[in-house]
Amino acid sequence: MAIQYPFTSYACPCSDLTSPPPSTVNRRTSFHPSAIQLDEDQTFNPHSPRANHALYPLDHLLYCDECDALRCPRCWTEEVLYWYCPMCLFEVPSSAVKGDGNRCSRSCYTCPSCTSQLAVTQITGRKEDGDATADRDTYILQCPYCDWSSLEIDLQFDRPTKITEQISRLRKARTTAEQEKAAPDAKPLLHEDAFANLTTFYKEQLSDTTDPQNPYSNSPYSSPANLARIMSLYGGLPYNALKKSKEKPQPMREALQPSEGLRTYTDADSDANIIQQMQTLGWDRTTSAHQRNSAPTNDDARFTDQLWPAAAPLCTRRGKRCKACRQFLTRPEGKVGSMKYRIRLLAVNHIPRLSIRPFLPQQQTTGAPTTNPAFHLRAEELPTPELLQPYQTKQYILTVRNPLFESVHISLATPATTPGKVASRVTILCPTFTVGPAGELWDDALASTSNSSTTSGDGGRSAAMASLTGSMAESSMADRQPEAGKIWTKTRNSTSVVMEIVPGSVGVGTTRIVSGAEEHDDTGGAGEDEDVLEVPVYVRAEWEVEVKLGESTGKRKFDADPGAPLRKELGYWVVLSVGRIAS
Amino acid sequence: MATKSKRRLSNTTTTAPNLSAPSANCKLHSTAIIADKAQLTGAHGIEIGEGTFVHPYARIDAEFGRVVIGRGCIVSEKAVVGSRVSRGVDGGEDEGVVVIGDGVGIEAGASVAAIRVGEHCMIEVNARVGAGAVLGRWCRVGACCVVAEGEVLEDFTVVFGDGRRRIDAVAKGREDVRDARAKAREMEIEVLRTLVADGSMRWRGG
Ligand SMILES: [Zn+2]
Ligand SMILES: [Zn+2]
Ligand SMILES: [Zn+2]
Ligand SMILES: [Zn+2]
Repeated sequence: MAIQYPFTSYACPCSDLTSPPPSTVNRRTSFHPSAIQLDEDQTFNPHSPRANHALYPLDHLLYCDECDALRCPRCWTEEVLYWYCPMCLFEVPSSAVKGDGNRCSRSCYTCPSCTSQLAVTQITGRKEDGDATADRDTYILQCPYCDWSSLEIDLQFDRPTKITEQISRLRKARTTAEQEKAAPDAKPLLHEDAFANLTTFYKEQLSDTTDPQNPYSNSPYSSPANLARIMSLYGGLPYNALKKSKEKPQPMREALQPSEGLRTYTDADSDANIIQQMQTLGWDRTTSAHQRNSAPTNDDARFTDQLWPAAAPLCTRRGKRCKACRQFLTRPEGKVGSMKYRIRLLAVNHIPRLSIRPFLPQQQTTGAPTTNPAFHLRAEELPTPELLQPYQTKQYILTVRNPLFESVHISLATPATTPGKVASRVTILCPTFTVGPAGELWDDALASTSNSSTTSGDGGRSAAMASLTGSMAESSMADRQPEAGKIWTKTRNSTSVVMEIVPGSVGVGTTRIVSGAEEHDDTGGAGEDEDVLEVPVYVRAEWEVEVKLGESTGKRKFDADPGAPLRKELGYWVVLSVGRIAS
Repeated sequence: MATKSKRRLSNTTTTAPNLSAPSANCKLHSTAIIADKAQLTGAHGIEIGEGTFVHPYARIDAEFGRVVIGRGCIVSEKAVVGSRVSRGVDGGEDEGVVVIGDGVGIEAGASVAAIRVGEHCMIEVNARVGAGAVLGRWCRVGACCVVAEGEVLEDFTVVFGDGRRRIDAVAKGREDVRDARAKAREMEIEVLRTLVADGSMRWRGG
């Protein structure tokens, strides 16, 4: 679906694009908007090639309440809380994951042909084997989606349980039979065997104190420290072995023979043979890379009839920690299948949210909510995006919504002309104002008329809707004109101001109103998305938190008296993507 | 694009079904069960074979050509059988004719406009078989998959995933597997018979 303008995105402070706010303002003194002198160098440039990596929708961000800062995927670390199988929803202890690998060891298998979950199906052995085995049932793995079944590789089970055990037994029997059939000098070393050999070889290497001469001294795996690190990534070794290897930094050698896990090219299947087979079987019966990578057993499979069912890979449930202070930002409940969170610090609940919509003086009286694209069910119903006309002043309503339980003083700062190749003029008519505190979920909807300038007594649904969508009974003041220094509308926890934008022209050779400091290659025309009008706004929110006497403030340190209100301040860049400018 | 516009066309006609009584040309087997809420429309006539089961809200549309459904088939809810295109394979005389073989399962919401669907095929939920397609025996069209107009599927083809095709070698090679599948269909009909009342009297003209 096409992007619907206008929308807002938030810049995470971890990016060096988000340099500290323009002029430093003394925390303790209230400041005047004129004090904010925006410097062209320090303005967040949404058209910078790297801006996309710093901007996120507010819903994608978390907030660390220890550091008092926004946190984006680049500034949190993920931590695996537990492993589980997505099919049987069984939690797998981490020791088992390290020992047996990251696949379910119960009876969960995926289809090698289409990756859906295989079901154990009973087939009654009639006809074929005669009456002697008529009452003996056999079991197969069957795909309910694409009809692949383990009969395709002639695999049947005696019992419907312990499938993993039966599969490994059957596979072993089959591969050893194949091995014996093959010529003795060209025995292909199986993937599983090679891996097992290699693991034992490396373990021996690490425990051995006396090493033979290292013939591969230039290998990146030659140093024990490197190897130990790699082994701990792929399987883990006892701590003692690691310690030992650290104490005695001795060169190690690599595997030299198949018995040590060395796997070299064998012409067990000659190329001519394979090519001929490919010709007869065709593309559809040749395995795809995805199929070959689905399981270790399928590594060497060239044709679909060599594919084995793949054991289900395990999933992880992760918590997110702040990189700076290591506290959990989100932490799901430690129960498989539970979608609840024990800790979840969403940015939505911690920082004032900005939204923008066109200012329509003669707004339709009741249809206001339907103009919001979020209320449309189908893509076809969405209005076609309207292009902005250059040099035509347009007014927008900028709404700041406060999720905090304290009333917040907001100052908005924006460059007079937008950065980028297309310079548009931006004026916020009232850059400083106060936003009331948030209440319980429905408080503001029910008491919507108490705070507003108009007293429309209808209450109920339309008032609630108006409050939710941030459009306060605008119909009643259709003839009101926006004024500088005055807020437009105010509800309990949101305040709207009017913003004037004069879009610049996209054409080649545009004379910039302000000569930018960073003009990399202005020789060409407008680059990709240069015609999108994006307004960077620096939001500074200030509020006071009552610190009650005797309340533990945790690790937080502040030099004020315990009884005095704690002054908090938060600044962040928001980018308003207003729309595309017609060229 | 052409298929898309056609689909939209058939959708709009679904909302206003043409209930021209087809009873004159209908040949419904006495053991076939057609639910009361099923829709049988069109003047070209409908033939339904022995033991076939038509669910409520299934639609069999013979407006553009005769629809023949074989023995032991299941047509599920909201499935549509019938071609909306009035042309045959080679523009010949079999205009809009749809012939469904024996033991075919058509799942909920599927639409089948094929010239011919071979016996024991399985058309899964919301799958679409375009007009003029020919399906061999034991084919399976996976959920939401599409068989293009005029496409010919050989026997034992499985259509799945994002337009992938493969041949079900197991069903091809083993009779017992095929028997088991046919048996499953029969058993499903047995159960359905006990659950849904026959409403076919409307169309039998009695
Ligand atoms: Zn960040
Ligand atoms: Zn499992
Ligand atoms: Zn499958
Ligand atoms: Zn932190």
